Amino acid sequence: MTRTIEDLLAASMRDQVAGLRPAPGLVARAAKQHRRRIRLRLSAAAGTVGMAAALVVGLTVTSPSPSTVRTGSSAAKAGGQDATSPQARLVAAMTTSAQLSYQLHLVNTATTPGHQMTPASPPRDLINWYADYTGVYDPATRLGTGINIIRLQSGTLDNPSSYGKADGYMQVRIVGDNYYIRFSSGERWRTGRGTLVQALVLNGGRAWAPTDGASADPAVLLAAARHLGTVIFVGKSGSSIQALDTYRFSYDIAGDDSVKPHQLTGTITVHDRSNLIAEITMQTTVTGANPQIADGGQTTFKTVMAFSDYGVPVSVQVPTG
Amino acid sequence: MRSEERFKGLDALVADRGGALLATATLLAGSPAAGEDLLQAALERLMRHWHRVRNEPEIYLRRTIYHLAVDQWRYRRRHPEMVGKIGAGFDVAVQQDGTDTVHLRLALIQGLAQLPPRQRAVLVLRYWEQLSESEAADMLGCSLGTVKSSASRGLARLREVTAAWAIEGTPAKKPLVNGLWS
Repeated sequence: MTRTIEDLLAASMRDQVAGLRPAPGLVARAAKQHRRRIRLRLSAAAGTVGMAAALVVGLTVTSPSPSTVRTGSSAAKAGGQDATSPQARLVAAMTTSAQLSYQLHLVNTATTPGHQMTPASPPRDLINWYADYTGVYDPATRLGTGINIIRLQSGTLDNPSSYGKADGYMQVRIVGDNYYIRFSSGERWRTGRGTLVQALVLNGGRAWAPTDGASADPAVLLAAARHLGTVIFVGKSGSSIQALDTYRFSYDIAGDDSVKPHQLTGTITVHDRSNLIAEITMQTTVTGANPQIADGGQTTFKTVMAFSDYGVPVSVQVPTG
Repeated sequence: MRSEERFKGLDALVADRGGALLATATLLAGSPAAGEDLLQAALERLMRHWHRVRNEPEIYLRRTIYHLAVDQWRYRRRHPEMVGKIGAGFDVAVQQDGTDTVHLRLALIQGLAQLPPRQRAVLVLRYWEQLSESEAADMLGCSLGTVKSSASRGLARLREVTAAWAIEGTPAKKPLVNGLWS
């Protein structure tokens, strides 16, 4: 009897896998690994609390009344800092910025460095998460709304450049202590208790940021800013109303049972005239402390937060449906 | 929220379709143990994107299994035990009795495991899943031409390693003893 290799291959495959059943508890083991991965990410994120909490606390902070908002050196003095030091000027800028409504464009990426698609492929960064959020937030009313563009976290073998290509979006609303999200696929709104950052991290937005949403107090901002570590005034650019001051900072982060000690570095750009933050960039590379789990390798986190339209009116309602 | 509640329906899916999914993963990964690791990795990824894909989890799960398998270089770094397990040669000689067919099928499965990941994935899609070339291309996110060339090369390689057996009406060329994969 003549048989083609295709027929034989199909028959061989059937023989090979006949009667296979997953071992009991497979879903439970996957769920356990899933929870460990989430914990690792949150742990890595929370480890940057010194700097990053200062960045996002404005998303949850309860603002004092407008009459108590201080700017510039007066705010720095209120924070107990030498008003002339770079760190004090940054504290002042953060304090001021966190008390006004604003538009935020936040881009997060988490990449695995040096990934090779095949043994012969050149090393390249593999994007694990990608968040691209644009929205407005008013800390006084604790209302916010925005869109997170969901981007492909990896390319295909034939089209590696499809990394980061838009693949739908997620609507986000923040009302007080709760967030509401809805995906572009059109399903109903989902809700949870937490900040914008938690909405992104916990709902597939692939964002990275700390989750200290409970610290809704301006004092947290000041306290966090004092942990900036080394702060260097890099220089001034532009002129008049366009003038910007740029600072560079670095901050050591202690390890724990999830990640090894690492360092976070970044820059902060401040509008010279208004003392409001224009942009914050930061990055760090974390290494899992436990090589036995999948996230034991290195992951590089990069964040760019651009602030604009300070004082923008923000009106948000709890979604229905 | 408890995971049983959050991932509602996943247990039922695995209970109902787990055998078929594990079969695919086993063929792609080279052994039942490695296949179960691959299936578990795909389940973890499904959980990560549950909110987006829970309406059609099996499609996402199956596609993820293939993508993880093709991305084997990354996967293998986490599962170095697979290399030695699959790469070990074994003695095969043509027997003129009933064991011949068994050996041939075994040789085909071992040959399949030795193929580059994409060639292997294409052959599994075409001859295990019985998908068309265009459906296989869609599953892997590659072009139709890539599927065709991968299938052609994969089958050619399998013909080489099974040349000792008379297939497709051709007589056996030579017995293979040791060094089957050399």
